[in-house]
Parts: sequence; structure tokens; C-alpha cells
Amino acid sequence: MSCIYGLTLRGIDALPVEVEVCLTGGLFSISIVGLADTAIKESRERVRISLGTLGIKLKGHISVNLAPADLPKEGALLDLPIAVGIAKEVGFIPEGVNGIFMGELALDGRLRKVRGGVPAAFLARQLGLPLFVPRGNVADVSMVQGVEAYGCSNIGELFCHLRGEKTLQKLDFTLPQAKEIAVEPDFADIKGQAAAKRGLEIAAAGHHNVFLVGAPGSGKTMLAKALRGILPPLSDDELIEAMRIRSARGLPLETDRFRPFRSVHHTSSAVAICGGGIDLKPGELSLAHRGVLFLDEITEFRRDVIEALRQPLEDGCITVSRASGSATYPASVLLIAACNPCPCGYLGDTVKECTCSPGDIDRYFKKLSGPILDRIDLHLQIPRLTPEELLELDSDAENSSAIRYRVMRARSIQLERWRHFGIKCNAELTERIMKKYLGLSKDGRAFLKSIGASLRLTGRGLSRVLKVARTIADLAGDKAVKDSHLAEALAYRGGFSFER
Amino acid sequence: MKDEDLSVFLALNSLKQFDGNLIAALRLRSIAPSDLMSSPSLLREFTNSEKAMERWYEVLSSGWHLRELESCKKKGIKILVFNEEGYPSSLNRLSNPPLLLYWWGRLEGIKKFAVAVVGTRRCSNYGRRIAHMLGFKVAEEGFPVVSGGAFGIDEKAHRGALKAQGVTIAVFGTGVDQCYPSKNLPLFDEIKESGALISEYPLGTKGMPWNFPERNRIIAGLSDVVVIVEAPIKSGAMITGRIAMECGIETWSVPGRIDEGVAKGSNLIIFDGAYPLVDVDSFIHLIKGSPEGFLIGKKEDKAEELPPEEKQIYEMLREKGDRTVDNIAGECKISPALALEMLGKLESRGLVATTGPGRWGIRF
Repeated sequence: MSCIYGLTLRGIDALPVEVEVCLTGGLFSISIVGLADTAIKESRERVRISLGTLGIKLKGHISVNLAPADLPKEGALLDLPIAVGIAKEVGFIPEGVNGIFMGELALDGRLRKVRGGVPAAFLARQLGLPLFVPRGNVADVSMVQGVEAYGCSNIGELFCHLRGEKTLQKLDFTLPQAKEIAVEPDFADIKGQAAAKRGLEIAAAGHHNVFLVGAPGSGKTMLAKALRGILPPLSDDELIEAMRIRSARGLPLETDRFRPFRSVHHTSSAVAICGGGIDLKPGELSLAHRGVLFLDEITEFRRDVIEALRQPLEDGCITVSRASGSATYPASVLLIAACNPCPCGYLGDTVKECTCSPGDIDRYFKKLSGPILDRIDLHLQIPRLTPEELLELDSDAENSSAIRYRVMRARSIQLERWRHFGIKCNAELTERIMKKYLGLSKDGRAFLKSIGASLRLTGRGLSRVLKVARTIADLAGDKAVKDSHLAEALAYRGGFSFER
Repeated sequence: MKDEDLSVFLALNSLKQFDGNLIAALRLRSIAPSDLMSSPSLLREFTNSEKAMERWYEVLSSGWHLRELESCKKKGIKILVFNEEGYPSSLNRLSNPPLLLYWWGRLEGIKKFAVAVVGTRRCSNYGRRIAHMLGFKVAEEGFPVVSGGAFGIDEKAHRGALKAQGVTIAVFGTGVDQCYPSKNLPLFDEIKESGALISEYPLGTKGMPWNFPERNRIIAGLSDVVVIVEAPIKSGAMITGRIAMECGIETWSVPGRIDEGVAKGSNLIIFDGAYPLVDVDSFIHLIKGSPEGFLIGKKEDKAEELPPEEKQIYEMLREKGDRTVDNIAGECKISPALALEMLGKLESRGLVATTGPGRWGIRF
């Protein structure tokens, strides 16, 4: 009996699978046991024919056992370990060979790319075994440091290596570097909308969630997309976290350090967004991890979907439990929710009249419960400009990289200040920390007292204003939160009525 | 009044559509309802209309008038009859006051000094804003706001009054139980709560084109001041204004641009002698009879005490109307961040508000 390692994916983790092969006499047949799915059961044909291309003729009854027996296994990535196990059993490759193998076989012996390269590399590092992957997976596997990994384009090449005839090149550890490529659209491309741009700068600096309200055609989507360009580039750790999720979903990897941006359509189900399914795949929320999740027309989403966002927005991770098991995925996102000011979209518009009744508007915003709105610190209103106003505007807007520089400076100030509190940015501030360490100046306190009555701020509303004001002060490089910062923060606190 | 008499009035009122002069003729000879009941054919002497007579007999024989009274009672609609107690005496200024009014809602405001705010349905945003402001400020002073319940200026005037939690009265050109335009149903429900829906037409009357001009005389008659916000030359609001001026009711008109059709009529009526309404606060002061009188040109304290940057923005908004942050920052030559800061401060003082997504304007 021979034994080598393969793997199967469980969410964003790769789990080791021992592939045992035993050859007994009799007529030729291959049987695979161990809760394998259909793709694996069908692999016997691919394995038999691709081994045949190397001149290996199979005889007798071949039993393949995938252990642990009670773990459901899925995907064609077990083709390669099964083939290697059989080759070892028939003596084509030496007895002492061990390692983790993954890859799908083509009938001519080529290796096809599979999903899950990054998790596989983590597994190999953990087990301390060499990892053999298809050439197509080289980019993701080489992102993990301290792994002995090899990429091969076909099974013949691999066997030559294992027999010691021709060694493969060990993969080097490489990470994509931050490149100065422009993210489309750049902030300089967006005409006007100075208030919204300023708001997004604050959001990026303090990692505050954003709510965009504006008439159709006012440019909400464009602004949301541009936010990506002013966020600081992913750090090494963040990049690997993000790539691990992408890799587990089988999505192509990023070649730069820009943060993920996921735009989700409002017909999406809770499973698509939060993750789940039989094999517990991560959802959009996790794909946007360390980046931006954009929910356009948030009031059109199903209510259960919106409510499902509450816990992950708070905790930065999401636990998906299904009959087949449970998995926890990272889900630390900057949420941008956008919607119209009313169902027809023209409430408060200067040109077109709104045709909605107050009841319609109430119903429209009923979808957004208090707990969700409490997690969104910045409310930005996007005016729809008239042609005259558009022409009036100056064209020299700041570009994204200039803004990004300020954002990164403000972030490093926050990182330094909150070092001992276990948080990274102002958006994560708790009431307790804010009470003692916010740095509210005397005139700031007096200002808050003076407005309390006239603006009817609630407790939660107040803490949102305080967090945003802290970020505004950080952007300005001020140690204390002054009344001027608070006044600006007030302008972002939002509300949906446009009557004087 | 006895129910029997009341029902006769209802019956007579329903003949109006066949013979407009009938009521006046009856009034001239001071015929009592009981006389008509005892000898229905007496009516013959006052009308030449065959149809009116036909209808008269039909009503009496079918008992329509009794059923009408019954359904009014069921719905809580009050009937106010000419020259009887409760009838708004201000209507007597009209040359042909309605025989009776269906009054659905509260009777408050009936004896008060009332202000009519009327205008076209197809108004500009400017007109809409001014109507809302007028409705709000007039109602805030405790005066009922009278209008026609139509889209545009009328609707905004009603809404403004409701926002100030004041009394507002909608005069219908249809039966009082009809909802025309139907989209305003929620508005009418709100008006009924605090003010009233009124009409001279029997329940169930649909909106015939000739009813609306006729209804306008009631709007004018109920009010002590009529304000036309925006009206083209041919419009119901102009009819209201003309009737008001003929009856000696104080008439005001909001000046509009002279090259826009929508304000041609309202401008013309200023030429004809209506007061131009050039400032809402002054208007309120003047109708209240406050000793300060006309306010424009007098020192306004609101802006005086503001710090210079806030004052600059406040005055800019007051002069130029609603602006986006871009425009404010551009015109005051300050950064958007500073503009937002100043707007936040002004808002906390209660001086400005967001009037649309991303648009700021002064509060009134």
C-alpha cells in the first residue's frame, strides 16, 4: 500500500487528505472510497488515461481510500494525488516520495489550474511537506513564505522530478508590489461633488462606513468606485488574507496592492453575500475583506440580507453554519451603501418634481433598521447638478494619489494613538475609549452642549459625530477635537427630510 | 334647523346645475323651505328650466334629499346653510354666495381671519417653494390657510400650513367626499384632521370643468386676504383674484419673472392693483397689523452677530437661494471642508438646512 497527501477545501482552509492506494490481483478496476463527490469519482478515467500517456499500464484491482473517511471531499484537485499514489504503488516512482499534491489532470497528462492555491500553501507550510501544484497555480502558491513548492505543467515532468531524473525549480516567494497605476475613475475625473469627495476622504482615513443618498444620475456609483483609489495599499498580511479568500473561490488574483472592491446587486441572496452553500464558500462580504463592499440601491435589498450584515460589520468576521459544518471567514469591510432620496428619486431635486407621497418615502427607508444605520458613520448627500452648475465648476480637482497620501498619514496617526487599545482606526472606537481618550477640547465640549438641544442628537448619533470629528482632526493633524471639527462632522450626520 | 328643512335645502342646492339663478330668485322672495314642501309646484314660478322642475319632482319622489342628509350625518359632514347660524358670514360679500356648504372637518377657523394662497398647478420650483413658505408662515401665526387642494401651489400651501401644525381649509370643485386629484388623498386626510374640506356640491359630484371657476368664489369669499403665488393669464387663480378684488378683499400677488408665462397673470394683477408681495416676513407683519410694518431695508439681526465666515455664507445663501457645497465653496473662495464646517455651525444655530440631497438653503 502506498500513501501520499492531497487536500480538499473547506471554506478558505485546505484540509489534508491522505490518499491510500492498494493494488490487488484480479481484473482491472479502480474504486474510490471516502465520501468523494462526483468529480472525484470520475477522476478514474482521467487518471487511467493520463498515466497511460507515460506508458504505465494498469492491471488488477486498484482501491483508493481518501482519509479521513468522514470528511466530504470535493473537486478535481484530487486527480493528481490519486495518480501519484497509483504510480507509487505500481513502483513507477520511488517508495520514499512524499508531499502534498493538487491538480486536475487532462487526458494528455497536462495539469490544469485549480482553485485554492493559497490555502494549500498554508497547509503545506503547516505540515512541513513539499507542495506540487499545476503551473497555473504558481502565482498564488508563491505568495506564502516558507513553503517548498514546485509548479509543473504535466504529469511527466512531475514524475521525472520524483524519480530524480530532472529536478524542478523550487518556487520563490514573491508578492505583488504596489504599483502607481491609476484606479478608474480618479477623483480628478469627477466634476464638482466637493462635499462628497471630502466625505469619502474622511471615510477612507477613519475607515468609516458610508451612506450615499442622491438622485439617479448624480454620480453615486462613480464616487463609490473612486474610493478604492484613495485607500492605502494593502499591507503584506492584508494582501495574503484577501488573496486566500479569492483563491479559495477560484477567482483570478490581483497583480497590485489595490484594495478589493465588490459591487453587489440587490437581487443577491443572503448566502451569496455572507457565504454558505454545501461546501461553505465565502461570500461577497469576505471577498471584500480589507476592501470596499458597495451595496447600490440598498433599500431594494431583501430585508434579511441587510440585517445579516449587522454582525459582520461589528465584528469584522462572519461565521457560517450549515448542516455540513461551520466556518468563520474574515469580513472586515468598508461598507458603502447607496440609495435614492425617495422611490422616484427626485425628492428635493431642483428640476424634476418628486411624485412620492410621504408614505412611499417612509416605506422606502423602513428597510434600513436603526442598528444598520448606527453602523454607518458618514451620510453623504449627492446633489444632481443642473447644467449651469456643472459649467460653473472649476475643473482643477485634486487627484486620488494626493488624497491617498493624506489618508495614509491620518491612518498612521490613528495606528499610533490606538496601539494599546487593540484597534486600528477611529471607526472601531467604543464608547468607553471615546469617553476617556477622544481628546475633546474645551470649546468642543461647549459647542456640543450648545447644539444638543437644537439638533436633537441621540446618543448614538452623537457618538457617530464624535468618531467622524476625531478623524477630521486626524486629517488636520490636530491632537484635540475642536469645535470646528465637530461642526464639519455635523454636516455628515444625515437625515432624509429636505424641508426647511 | 330641522332635518326636514335641511333636506329641502339640499334638494334645492342640487338644482343649481340646471338653473343658476334659481337660488337668487328664491332668496329675493324669501321663500321658506316649508312653503315649497307643502306645494312643490310653487317652484315653477321661479324657474323656466324644464330640467330643473323635472329634477325637483324626481328628488322629492325618490327621497334623494333625505338619503343625502343621512349619508352626510353618517360621515360626519356638517351642512352650513345661508343666513343660518354657523354659515361663514364672510361669504355674504359675494354677489352669489352658495346656498349651503358641505363642511367636512373641524369648524375652527371659520370665524378667524383667513388667508387664501392660490396659484397654478403647473408652477415652477420657485412658486412651489414660496407657496410652502407662505402656508407655513401664515399658519404659524394662527391664521387658517385656504386653498383649492389641487397640485402645485395649492398643495404646497396646504402642506406648509400642516407643517406648522396650523389650520388649513381646502375648497373642492367636486363633492366633498370625492378625492380630486386622487394622488392628494393622504393630504386631504391630513387636512380633515386639523382643518376642513368644504364644497357646495352634493356628495358624489364629479369634477366638471365649470365647477372649478365657480368654486373659486368661495375661496375668495372665505378669506380676508388672497395671495396669488404664480398664475398664467388664463387660470383659476386669476378668477379667484378678480373676484377678490371686485368684492374688496385685500389681494396680494407674488411677483414673478416677466418673461415666463407661468407668472404673466400674477404679474398682471399687480398692475391691476393687487399688492406686490415682495417679502414674506413683511407680508405677515402687515396682515397682522404689527407696528413695525414693512421690514425690508430694516436691520436684520439674524446675520449681524455671526462670525464673518458664517455671515458670508449665510448672506450668500439668502441672496442667491439654495446652493450645493461646491457652489458655496467656489463663490466664497474657501475650501469645501471649511464650507461644510460653517454650514454645520449655521445649521446648529437653526439658520440653514438641507433642502435637497447635498443642497443647502436658509431656513425660514
